[in-house]
Order: sequence, then C-alpha cells, then structure tokens
Amino acid sequence: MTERKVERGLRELYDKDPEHADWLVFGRVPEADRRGFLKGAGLAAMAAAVGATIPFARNMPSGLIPAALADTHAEFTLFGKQGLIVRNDRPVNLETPPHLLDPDVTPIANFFVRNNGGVPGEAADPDAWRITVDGEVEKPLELSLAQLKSEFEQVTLQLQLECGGNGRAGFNPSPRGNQWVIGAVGNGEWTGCRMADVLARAGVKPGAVYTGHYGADPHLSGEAGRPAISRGVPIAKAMDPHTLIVWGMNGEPLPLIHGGPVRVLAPGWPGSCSQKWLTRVWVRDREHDGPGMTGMSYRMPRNPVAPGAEVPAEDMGVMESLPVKSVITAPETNASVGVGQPFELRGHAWAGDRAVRALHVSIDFGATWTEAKLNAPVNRYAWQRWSAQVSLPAKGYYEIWARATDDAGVMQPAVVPGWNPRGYGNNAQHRIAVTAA
Amino acid sequence: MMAECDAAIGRARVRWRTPHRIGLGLLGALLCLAVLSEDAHAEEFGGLPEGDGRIETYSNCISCHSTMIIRQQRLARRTWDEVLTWMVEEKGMWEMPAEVRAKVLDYLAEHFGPDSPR
Repeated sequence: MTERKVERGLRELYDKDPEHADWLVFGRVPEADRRGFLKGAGLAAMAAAVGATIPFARNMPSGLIPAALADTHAEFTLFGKQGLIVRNDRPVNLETPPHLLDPDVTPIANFFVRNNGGVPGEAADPDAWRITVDGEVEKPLELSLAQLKSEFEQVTLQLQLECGGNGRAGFNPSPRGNQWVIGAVGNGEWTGCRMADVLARAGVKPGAVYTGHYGADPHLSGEAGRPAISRGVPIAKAMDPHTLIVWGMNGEPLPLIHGGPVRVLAPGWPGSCSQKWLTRVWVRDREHDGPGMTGMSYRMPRNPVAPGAEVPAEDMGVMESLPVKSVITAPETNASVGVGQPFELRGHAWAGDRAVRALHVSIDFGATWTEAKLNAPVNRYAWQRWSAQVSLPAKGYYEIWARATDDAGVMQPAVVPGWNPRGYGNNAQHRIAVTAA
Repeated sequence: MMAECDAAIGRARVRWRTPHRIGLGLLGALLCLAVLSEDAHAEEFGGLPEGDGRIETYSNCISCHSTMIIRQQRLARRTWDEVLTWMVEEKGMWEMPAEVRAKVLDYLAEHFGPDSPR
C-alpha cells in the first residue's frame, strides 16, 4: 500500500516538473548538457531505487523517470480528479462515468482528460504566458495572458467539449486508440476572449483558410520541439463568436490538466481542435497539416465503408462538427426502483454545431418512445438538460434508452453508426439498466 | 541477462532518427534492471501477459507510453502492423530490427487480437 502511494507520487512529480522531480526524489543534479549526474549527485539514490548500479548513467537524460519505476498501474488519483475511469496513465486519459455528468456544469474534479503528450510544467507567472498569432495576417501579434485579459472583451459561456473518439469502444472491429465508452465529454463554463477578436486585431488576410494551433505539451518521445499534436479549424469556425481563447474554467483559473493557463475552446468539434497549453495560432493559407491533421487521424471516410475496410488516405476527410448525442445521468445504471413508482430520468443532450430539438426515452428496448422535457441551451453550444418521469409497470429487468433529435431532424441511431478506421463519432443511444422490484 | 536484454531491443542495429533520443545503452540497462529485479512480478512488465515477445514489446514501447494503451486494444494483426509502422513514421519511435519487430508483432497479435479476452 505504502509502495503504491510512493509510486503514484513519483509519477505525479515527474509529470509536473521532471527535472525538479529528479532533484526532489533522488537529489539529482544533471551535467550542463542535461544528462548524467553532476559530481554523482543523486546517482547512488537512483541506483538504490532501481536496485542496481546504472552503467550508462552519464547518458541518462535529466527528468527521465527510471523505467524500472515508471510503468506501474497503481490507482490513479492525480490532478485532483475524482471518480474517473483511467483509460491511460501515460499519457493521462481519464473518462467520466455517466452519473458524474449529472450537474449542468461538469465539475472540474469530474471533467474528462484527453492528452496526446505529456503535461507541461506549471507556469510560474500565468499572466506572463505568451501566445503568438502569425502566418496569413497583416500584423503578427505576440500577446501575454495579461493582455488577452485586459485588451479583449471577456466572455463566459457554457460550452460542451467532447473527444472525437468518444464511444470508440462500441465499434467492431475495434479501432485502435483509447477505448472511450461515453464519458469523454463535459460541459464547462469557460472564460476567455473570442478568437475572432484576436484574429481581427492581427488582420486576417484574404488568403487565410485554416488555423494551426500549437501548445506547450511535450511529445511523448521526449524530442524537444516536436509537437505532441497540432490541429486547427477552418477560418469560419475560428471566427465563430463561440470559439474562444480560454483562461478560466468554472470560475477558476484554467487548471493545468485542462490546458492552463491558456487553451482554445472550439465547441462542438473534436476536442483536439481545442488546443491545450496554447502558444501559437498559425493562420494558414491551406488546410493545416500538423500532427493529428493528416492520414487517418481525426478523419472520417468521405463515403460509407464496410466494418474493417482499409480506406485509402485520399478517401478520408477531416472531421468537423460532432453528431447529435445524449447521455442519461440519473439514475445510475443498475439502479433498482419500485414497481409502478414514478422516478426521474434525466441527462443532457448536445449536437455539435447544431441544437437539440427533442429528446425521447424508451423503457421497452425502443418499441415505444415518450418525449422528455428538454431545456433550451443557456447559450449556443451549451449542452441541454432533459428530464422525464417514468415508472416501470411490472417486476423485472428494463433498459432505458435515450434518443436525441437535432434541429435538422437528425436522430441518434440505436446501433453504432458507420464504422471508420479510427473509431470516431459514435453517437449511438445511451442505455442504462434499471430493475423494478 | 544483459546480453539478452540488449538483443531484445536490437541494440547494435537500431538506427536513431534524432540525436536527442534516450541513449539506447541506458534504456537497455534500465530495462535489464527491471527484468532482473522483478522477473517474478508481472507488474514489472506493466501487466503485459507472459509470452514470447513480452520483453521485446515492453522494452520497445514503454519509453514513450505505458502499457495501458496496449492492454486496451483488441486489434487484428494487420492493424498492429500498421500501428508499429505509424509509431515510427509519425510518433518518433526508433526503427526496430526486422526480427525484433516480428516478435513484437507476433506478441501483440496473439495477446491483444480481436478474440483475446477483455
């Protein structure tokens, strides 16, 4: 038990500031080239920890958690998160169970985490954090967070944010990647300024087509200067007044694990468009081609394909708005209720760039449907609360299904939608089990 | 044991794509330490199941990511093959010698294939 706690603490330290962790844990001071152990400082401690001498110690980069200690899978409670499902611990990827999505605004402690790379060190002075805006602009900008806060109109909006691969676990054959079930989604209350206002100050040239976003998260290979991920959005999406450069979440400074101090929030599109730890917006004269934009990543077949098909790269197109979807947040699945006793079903529904027009529930495997009460979004791109009173007519096992319909009349499918090589966009109806006794 | 570990990661023949990568000798040393000191405990292989190719798989993958992303997958051999190529082309992985790569692919396809238990 103690050992597990030590290991967890070790990972946490290294995630936050690897070189400092080296010093804290092992007393290690690296040579000037950030390798080795200056005058042997820390070497004995590290050797003791890994259980043997380290013959190639002079080569060992500073801030590298020894592999002998790194790959544990102890219970993971980093970054103040509670009750989340650990899909991956390095890089950190955490999913929210549906019942913890019940509040209108998803608490920070329960908000899902999707990382492609490492977590950068915490900024000593967040207001000094700088972003650059360059490329197809009249006047390239370099702006501190303090300037973003003081020189642009500040907006606070509830915006839903969802991973493009949310629901991947439902596809067959199983596409590679984190096997998200349904909880790689949340609705935060984000504070920031409009990306459109920042781009307007820079003066977007007529030839601008796309943004390319860059962040400070280190690549998993440790290679300096290699982006972990760099995606972007078409200029029209960047200019949408709901696409923000964000520094606040749920009334608090944007937490490190959510991209603090500064990130993009491009709601309704795959979460990877919402670059964390933002350092640069590169305005491009073509579709951005950073890591995560090309090949099969965040792309869907232009035409439907058979499950398991090999799809040529030229037949794939970049995913844009995510499809209509909903989640049942109460009761928690496997609940037990009294026969004939009315109880409240509730949850949220959202639809990418669209709004949700109706929400229906079924207690009989989709044979009949009842319309739920559906609230308007508090602002565009916020998810929408729905609720319904139901009762179960006889003793036994029931499934409750929820089906949202968007404002273009498009419904969630009962089964998993079109297969695609990387498993994006699964918006099948959410189902929970309820027993009447 | 050290020689065995070096062989596992194809020490002499690995081509480095950048000069800044983790020293291979170091990696071998650390991995051997892991193997030597904790051979009895599966957890030291990040929970990877026993089998031919486990050392090769562990030692070539975990310098960048943990085994959790491996253990989640149930992929056809063809897809695992693509993943290994993609890791080199897109994710900065070193190129494994052909016989090591074949062992890793065999291991992944056998233990994390479409029909492997969850």
